[in-house]
Amino acid sequence: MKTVRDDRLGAALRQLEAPEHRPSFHAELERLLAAEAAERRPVRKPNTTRRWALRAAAVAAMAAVAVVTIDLVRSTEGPGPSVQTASAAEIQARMRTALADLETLSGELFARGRSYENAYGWDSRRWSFLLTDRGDFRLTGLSHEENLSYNARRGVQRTLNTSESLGTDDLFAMVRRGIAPGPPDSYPAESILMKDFGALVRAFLAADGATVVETEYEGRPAWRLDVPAQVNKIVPEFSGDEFSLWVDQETGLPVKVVERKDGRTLDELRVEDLTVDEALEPGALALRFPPGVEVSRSNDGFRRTSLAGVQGVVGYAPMLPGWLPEGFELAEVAAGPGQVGVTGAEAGNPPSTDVVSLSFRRGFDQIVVTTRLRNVPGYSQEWADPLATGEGIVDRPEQVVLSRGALSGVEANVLVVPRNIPHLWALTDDLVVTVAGDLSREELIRVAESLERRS
Amino acid sequence: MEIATAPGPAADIRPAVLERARRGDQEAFAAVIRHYDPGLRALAYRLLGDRDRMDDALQEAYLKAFRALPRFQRRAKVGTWLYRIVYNTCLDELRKARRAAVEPLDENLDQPGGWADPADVAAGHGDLSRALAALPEQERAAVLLVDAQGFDYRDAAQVLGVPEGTVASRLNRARASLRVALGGTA
Repeated sequence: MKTVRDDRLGAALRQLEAPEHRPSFHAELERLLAAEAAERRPVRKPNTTRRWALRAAAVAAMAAVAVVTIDLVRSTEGPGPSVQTASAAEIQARMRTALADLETLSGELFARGRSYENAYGWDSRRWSFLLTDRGDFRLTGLSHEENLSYNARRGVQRTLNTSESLGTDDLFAMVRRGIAPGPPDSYPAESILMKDFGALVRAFLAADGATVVETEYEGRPAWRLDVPAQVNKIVPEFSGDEFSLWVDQETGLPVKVVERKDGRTLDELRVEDLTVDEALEPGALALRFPPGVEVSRSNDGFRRTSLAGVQGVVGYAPMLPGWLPEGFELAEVAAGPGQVGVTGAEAGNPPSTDVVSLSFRRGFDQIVVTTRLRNVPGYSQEWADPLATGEGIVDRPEQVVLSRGALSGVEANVLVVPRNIPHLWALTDDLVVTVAGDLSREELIRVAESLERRS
Repeated sequence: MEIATAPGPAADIRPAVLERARRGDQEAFAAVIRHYDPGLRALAYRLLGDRDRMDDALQEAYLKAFRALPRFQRRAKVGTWLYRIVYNTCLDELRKARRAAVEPLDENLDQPGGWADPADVAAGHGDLSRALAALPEQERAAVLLVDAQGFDYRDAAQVLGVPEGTVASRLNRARASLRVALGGTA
């Protein structure tokens, strides 16, 4: 829409004065920021972690890719006639039930499109990646200087990058500890590429009404699953009306995701040269900083603990699901005492306080159930979706009244859309509850209805 | 006192500074805030109508932004993102005040016909100041962003969280009221 301005009115409005800040404003702000930064800095000694907890905390997006991949890779049926004529539901079901035996996955990611150009100033990028079923990963920029590693066992992320805008070779190194197992709290997948790709693949897994087209991808037979999407009215030029996922028929691997509008491609993400279960070279996941590089350090405030230890950390009994899709196991228990970040679109929610984050894994597949205090002293605003897409995207969740469990009678909001991780959130009298991950709408609701407080 | 000449979203902060701020560099974050503060201050003041409330809201908003910046994914411009945080914080502040006040705590709040900043009156802009304050917050914000600060409809829509068409309709209503105050016709 063409912008029309009233220049005379604008000039008059600019003549209206706005007062300077009170003299103490900047000093007060500096103290607030310093206190906030100090809360992040201290490196807390992690509690003893149970053996099974070490398998958790994978990169959500990449894990989602792996979900799709493994299911089809592990199939012993091969691309027979029944596979080639598979319906969307059959392909989705096979995607969901794979994973179990995957140990490693590596390959290259390629991204291009207008939204990346708008957001980052580049229109195409390439990375190599390496994942393990314990949630460790390594990402390396092939077209630019970008290095990232995540050690799930320790909950530590290391990054080493140059500044594109400075145009120099100066390196920025950072070590981040105390990372939450998954959304809505900040977790390793902060890259828009990884988050986008993961969310898209998850959305395909959860979508109703996807259509399947027999097609080719780089000369090989492929399935293309198409899912319609609602155009974002706030940023329509960067918002498609359809998403498509290409799956290689021979290998069963997801090889490309495309967002289109009126038949034209807006953004494209491709996975190439996938390798499964290749033995890892020693140090393949490590990221070492060059000598002399200044290292910034931060702590997100989450500590790994045991289920029995949660109440002692946050002061209330955790909420556990009594039902999960087959194969999921509790993989990681993390507790964030005090205020540990903020959620919601444009950080619109009260600070996340006394958070419990439970990660359930089925190989690379992940479900994250979280609770946090609803009533935060000093903050009276209402809660909004902790996993809101934000940054110009207006979500339209489905409201569902839950009928069983600790959330019986509570109205929950369910969101399964291509641009976000499938999730559900609800408010009790004292808690904000979220369920997110590799689940369909029905599974999200069923998990939520099975939640009970466990002392 | 000063005349607010906000940079608006067209003059975005240098990406290198933003990158350092995203990594938790407090000085870099302060630079980001300094860059956008004049425009944000103008918006917050005209929404809240009081310097102390403006400062309180801005401190709260800047702290929220500092917490959330590591997760900022750059789908939107950082300026637009900051404006949205400030706008939402101001609306929260107004809602809070309305809920808290059995009787209006601040006579400037929600007064039919609005209020006029004494400085505006002294400068001969009392009518416009009063007419602006009388507008609903959503219309006030739209006209401040687009006409005074130079946002285009798309960026204003992101700040306000509404489609561009809604921005346009709010602008039409706001301009009709304000043009009268300027001595023109609606």
